[in-house]
Amino acid sequence: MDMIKAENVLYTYEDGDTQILQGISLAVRKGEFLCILGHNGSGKSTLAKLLGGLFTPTGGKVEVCGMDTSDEKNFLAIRQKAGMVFQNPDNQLVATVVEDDIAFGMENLGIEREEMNRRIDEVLQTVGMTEFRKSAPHKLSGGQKQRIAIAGMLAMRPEILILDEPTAMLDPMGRREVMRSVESLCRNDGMTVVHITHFMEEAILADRVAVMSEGQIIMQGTPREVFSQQERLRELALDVPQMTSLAHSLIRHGADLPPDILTIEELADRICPSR
Amino acid sequence: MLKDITVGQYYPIDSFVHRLDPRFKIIAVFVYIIAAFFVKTYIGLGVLFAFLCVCVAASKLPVRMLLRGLKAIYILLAFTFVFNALLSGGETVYFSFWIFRLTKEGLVRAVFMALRLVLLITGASVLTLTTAPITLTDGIEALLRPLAKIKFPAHEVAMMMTIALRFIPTLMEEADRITKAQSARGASFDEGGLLHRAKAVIPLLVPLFVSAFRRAEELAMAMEARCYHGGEGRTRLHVLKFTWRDGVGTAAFVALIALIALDASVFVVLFPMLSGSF
Amino acid sequence: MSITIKHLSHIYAPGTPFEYAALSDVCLEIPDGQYVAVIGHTGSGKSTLIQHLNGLIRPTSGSITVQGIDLTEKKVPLRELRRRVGLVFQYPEYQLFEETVAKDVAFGPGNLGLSQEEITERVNEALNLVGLPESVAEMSPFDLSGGQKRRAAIAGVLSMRPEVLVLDEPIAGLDPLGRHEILSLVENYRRKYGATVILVSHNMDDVADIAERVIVMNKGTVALDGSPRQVFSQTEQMRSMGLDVPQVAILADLLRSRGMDVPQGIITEQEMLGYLLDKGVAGCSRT
Repeated sequence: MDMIKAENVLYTYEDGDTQILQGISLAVRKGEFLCILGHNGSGKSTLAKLLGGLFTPTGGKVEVCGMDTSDEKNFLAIRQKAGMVFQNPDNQLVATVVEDDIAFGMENLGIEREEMNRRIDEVLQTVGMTEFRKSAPHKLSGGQKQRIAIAGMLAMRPEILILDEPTAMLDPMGRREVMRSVESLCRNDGMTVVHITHFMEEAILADRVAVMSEGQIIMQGTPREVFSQQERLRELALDVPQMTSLAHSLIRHGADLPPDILTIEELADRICPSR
Repeated sequence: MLKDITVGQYYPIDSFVHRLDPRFKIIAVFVYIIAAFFVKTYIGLGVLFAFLCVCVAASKLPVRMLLRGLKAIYILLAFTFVFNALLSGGETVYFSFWIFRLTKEGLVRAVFMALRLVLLITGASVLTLTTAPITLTDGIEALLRPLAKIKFPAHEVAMMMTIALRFIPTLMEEADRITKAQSARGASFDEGGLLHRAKAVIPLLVPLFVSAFRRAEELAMAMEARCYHGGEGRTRLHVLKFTWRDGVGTAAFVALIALIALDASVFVVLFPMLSGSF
Repeated sequence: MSITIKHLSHIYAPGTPFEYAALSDVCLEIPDGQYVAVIGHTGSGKSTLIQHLNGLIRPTSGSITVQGIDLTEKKVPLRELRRRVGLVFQYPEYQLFEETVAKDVAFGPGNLGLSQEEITERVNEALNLVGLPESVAEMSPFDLSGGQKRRAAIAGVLSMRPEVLVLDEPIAGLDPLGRHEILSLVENYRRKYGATVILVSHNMDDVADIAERVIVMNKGTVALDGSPRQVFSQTEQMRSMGLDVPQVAILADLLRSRGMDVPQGIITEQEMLGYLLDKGVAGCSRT
């Protein structure tokens, strides 16, 4: 089943006549981990907000769990189904105590108190932040804040998580923390994840990668399929995983290697198999 | 100086007073302040002081914490004292110069006024020191709720207060960072005349405002993404409950009010010498 | 002229319950013109360290001399110090405030008390160095794109022509193209003025490529200090401090554990490629 379906989506900002998105068609399957890559200004963030129903398309159609995002009646239901986490960890936490912040979304949905307390325990455990229940958000690290933001979304029991560059402002440790949570959510709990990023290492974890440029999706496929097209990615000013790049250089010198190597282990296995 | 201000700071321990319903505490402090203004005698002041002592004891707040709060207002205290001592007038004159006259009555009055101010500030500090900001906001919201009937935006006001509390530390950090960044570019904020200094804050204020607006915009979107749609149909994680503690508190408070009222009417008649009404 | 740091310690909020030793007993000597990368995770003391370099914070104990200026003296010539040491903060685009880009870039030189012609000349040069076209000079800095804003903000520091250029994570949040633009403009400035560059970064692959020396901060002390080769060969130690190492270094370790004699100090893609070609791995050879 398609959790999100975008058909020929156009988007133009009210004030300008620049078309940010120029006809995007995309379907996200249930339980899928989709990664959207693109350089700054490629329109990937705008697309994220359209998929989460925060923006409505100026042309075409977006459906979340079968509901049209352009229909005002669906706004709340869509936002409950599609949880969004944003780039700046500081600007999405509302309350002065972690548990109150996680409760914020549930309060808006009118959930009973006992249920709220139960879910707070549960989601804090999911993101590994149980001991910070009574902490003040501004005392947490960037990675911890993002995990609280994710927990706040999970508490609303969404079917899809849309992560709009959640790691862009984090240090490597924070990035690892967040990606570990996201990966586990998708792999262990069957959450559908749409992850927007420009870090290649994160894209490797995905089931499918869509590459955006100039408001269009120009490449799509498994990480292997996409990253093996090195020249194309370089033209788009995107990185290729370093191991893929090294493998390609070796191939150019006549090495007998597959072009879709992604990780260190894969390359090491080819060069010198472990016994 | 800034770190001495204890009004508005929360002292996170567990005590009888900490556990009181914030609605009760807000009303109580309100009434206490009014009572302090109505008190006209040293006896009444004594009653208020005794009551405050009981509250502080029940709150387990360290006394030096409260005294530190007074340090922040010592200028105000000194001013109140001097003003009352020299300008009150009276019969027993100790010293006089131009329009200033230091009299016995003036001195008595000055001491009274200063003590009253100390009681006021300390009382208000007990409220903020024993109530977490978020609980205080909950209390204010609950108390304002009846006003929603006359279209007063009670929920919105409370929401704004919560967000302000959440973002004060973030914006303080940001202000510090911008100050350092502009200093690194050779800006100086503590030299030159008034005009120069006023101009010097522009490189701080502009980025701070730009950033605050950007944050506000992003926060609004994040709140929308979390299904925020105003106060309608909202449940709360924290529900305020009136407990036996609040019952005890109310009883104590009614007794206090009665004593103050008695003081105002009876003592003045019975012991005019002792009470020396002001 | 150089930077000499001896037994530098810095304690925040001493004597309060919030007392926190951000730096303890740091000793460093940075000669003129060196390209130094400082790495360490958040809270390792690296930000505190670099803020000492232009007098934004004072040492609690120890001594620090920057370009001949002793920062432990009572009266430090701050203006002189800040002319010589330029500090670019993290997300510098958030410090832009003027009506036009040119005016913003002129803010620093203006504070140095230079003549109008000198300022104009420096502004043009700085904009040129960061690769912003002349058409941008009269635009509002708030109308630029994200990457352009950052370059304009860096131009605002370069226009002061510092002898020591300190940059705190200048490539954070940028895409690969943006990262490349910033790093090459730093390189251009360094070449032109022979400046010392101190770069704080999380991106180990970039650091391995560009820096002459890597200083690793951990818990307020210098944990490792040496050439990228020496530092990044300590993969175990780096990881135990929660830091990344260049991917090539990990590959080298893995190959070594499988019995290949990969020499120590291979950390960049080019070096690994060269080694593998020499070895004739998988049937390929250097052509």
